[in-house]
Amino acid sequence: MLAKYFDHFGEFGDLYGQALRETGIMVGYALAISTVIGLFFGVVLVVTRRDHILPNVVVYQVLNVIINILRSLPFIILMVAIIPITKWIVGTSIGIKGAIVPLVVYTAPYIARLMESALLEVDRGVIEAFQAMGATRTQIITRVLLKEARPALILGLTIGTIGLIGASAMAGVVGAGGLGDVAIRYGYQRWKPEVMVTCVILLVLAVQLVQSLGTWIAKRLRKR
Amino acid sequence: MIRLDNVSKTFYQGNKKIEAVKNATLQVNKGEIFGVIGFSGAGKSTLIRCINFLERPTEGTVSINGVNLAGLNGAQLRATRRRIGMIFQNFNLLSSDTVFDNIATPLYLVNTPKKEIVRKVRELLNLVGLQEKESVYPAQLSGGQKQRVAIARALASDPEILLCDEATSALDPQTTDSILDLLLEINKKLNITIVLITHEMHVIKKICDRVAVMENGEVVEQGKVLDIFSNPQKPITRNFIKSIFDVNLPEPLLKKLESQQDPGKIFRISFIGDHVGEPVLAELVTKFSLHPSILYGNITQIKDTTFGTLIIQVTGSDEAIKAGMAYLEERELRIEVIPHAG
Ligand SMILES: Nc1ncnc2c1ncn2[C@@H]1O[C@H](COP(=O)(O)OP(=O)(O)OP(=O)(O)O)[C@@H](O)[C@H]1O
Ligand SMILES: [Mg+2]
Repeated sequence: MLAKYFDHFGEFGDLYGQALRETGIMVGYALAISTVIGLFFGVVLVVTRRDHILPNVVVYQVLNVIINILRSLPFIILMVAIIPITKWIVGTSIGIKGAIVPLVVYTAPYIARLMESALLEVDRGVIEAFQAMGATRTQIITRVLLKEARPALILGLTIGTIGLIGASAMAGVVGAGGLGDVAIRYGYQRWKPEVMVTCVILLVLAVQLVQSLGTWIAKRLRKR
Repeated sequence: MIRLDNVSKTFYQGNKKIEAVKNATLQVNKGEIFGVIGFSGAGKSTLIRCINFLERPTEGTVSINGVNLAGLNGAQLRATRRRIGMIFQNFNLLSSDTVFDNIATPLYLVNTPKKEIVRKVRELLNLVGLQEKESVYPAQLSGGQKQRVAIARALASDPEILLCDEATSALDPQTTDSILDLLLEINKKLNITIVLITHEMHVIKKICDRVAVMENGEVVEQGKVLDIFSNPQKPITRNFIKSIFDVNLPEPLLKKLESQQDPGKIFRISFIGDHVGEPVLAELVTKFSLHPSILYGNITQIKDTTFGTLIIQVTGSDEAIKAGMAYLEERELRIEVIPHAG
């Protein structure tokens, strides 16, 4: 039975290779862009709080509401709902390009929240000590907030990446391919259970790998 | 050097008004160690944070070397803050930096040349006695060592003033003493003015020159530590002094004295500095034919000065007692009558 399972790689091996590549590209680009955006807004969500270093109720509240709205939409709905915006940004709403935009719109707010909670854990006393030393706000953000929160930021990014891998499996809907697409088209629609099993195994491995890597880096960064 | 004039700080929590500091006026002179003592919530932290404008006073003015902080722009305020080091109860070190980098922080902030940083940090490591710990992370240090790192960091920008917010409150008594010795050394060697706040009278007694007592946001009493110890005015001040030496006689003893045939009078005599060790009791006997008996005696050190307290019961004629005490007062001893029980 196991031999029979391995036989199907002869037929589907290339398909898996391409699906992995597609998932890798989608997740890689979406993650890079979402991290930059998410980290920026995560910092804004923290420093504009009433008792923080750059208090601004309006900015905080507006950002807070926008993120909550985006976070309340399931990915599959978000992807369809923003098709016009996707077209306007990348010129198309299908294929890998067409999938990256909704993946970013979906993941960046999530990462912003994850970064926010990581940054909020930074000891207020240390920030105060830096203010007392005459540090500028920029110095406090780079030398205290982002630096002290590094392990928590990495763990947050790990969670965000795993969420992103999950969302990318739905990108088949807009013809972007990827592992999820193969699982649906071959494993489900053409009733090939061995393909479904392989896709599941590959997704599980990817998540395991990301999580282990994240935990390892965070541990190395933590000096306590 | 530091002047607070009618400083008040009011916080609003919802519509609740919290007057953390009320109308505080005080002056700290160059080179002295100034203590602020008070119970938890008295407003000490808020007061000390007004000195470097971590907290902006709601009313009143704070000036450093004659410059009103309220008139400074952002860059000027940061420059002033660099002249004022600060240490905290919780040390507030960067956990992700080594001891070396923590101490160098104020220098990194203004892009000091690397060579200069190494020289300065080594010098400070020496001063605080942590030469061997330069590449260790704070998590691997004891509380006392962390506070030493914090002190070194505060000194890296060559400040004129050092603010200490409960710097020893998280430490055991022995470590507290070693940190206080270090502060004293810094004060003397580097001529840095120190303002420290605490809720322990022991800290005040050991290193402070002058002290302010705070209660419910107000400075209720201030003056030289010796004067405050020998002649406290407010009940809260007496309480703080009692916390390190209890000069009250036990009630049963007072009752017993009173029931004696001749209860005489009870006096508390305070000796300061050079007067300690003078044979005053013998003189009461020989010059005034009085009969003093000792009920209580204590001698202690208040910073550089020896301070003694003696409680005696004196019997003899009223006139002789009066004359005897007048004589002691002339000798600049502080005399206080303690009423009998009842
Ligand atoms: N940022 C703030 N917002 C609201 N209330 C505050 C704030 N900071 C201090 N307070 C209040 O002001 C009062 C004085 O606080 P402060 O921290 O100055 O006291 P403290 O004497 O330093 O006490 P402790 O010995 O516990 O440190 C307290 O009632 C406190 O709750
Ligand atoms: Mg306090």
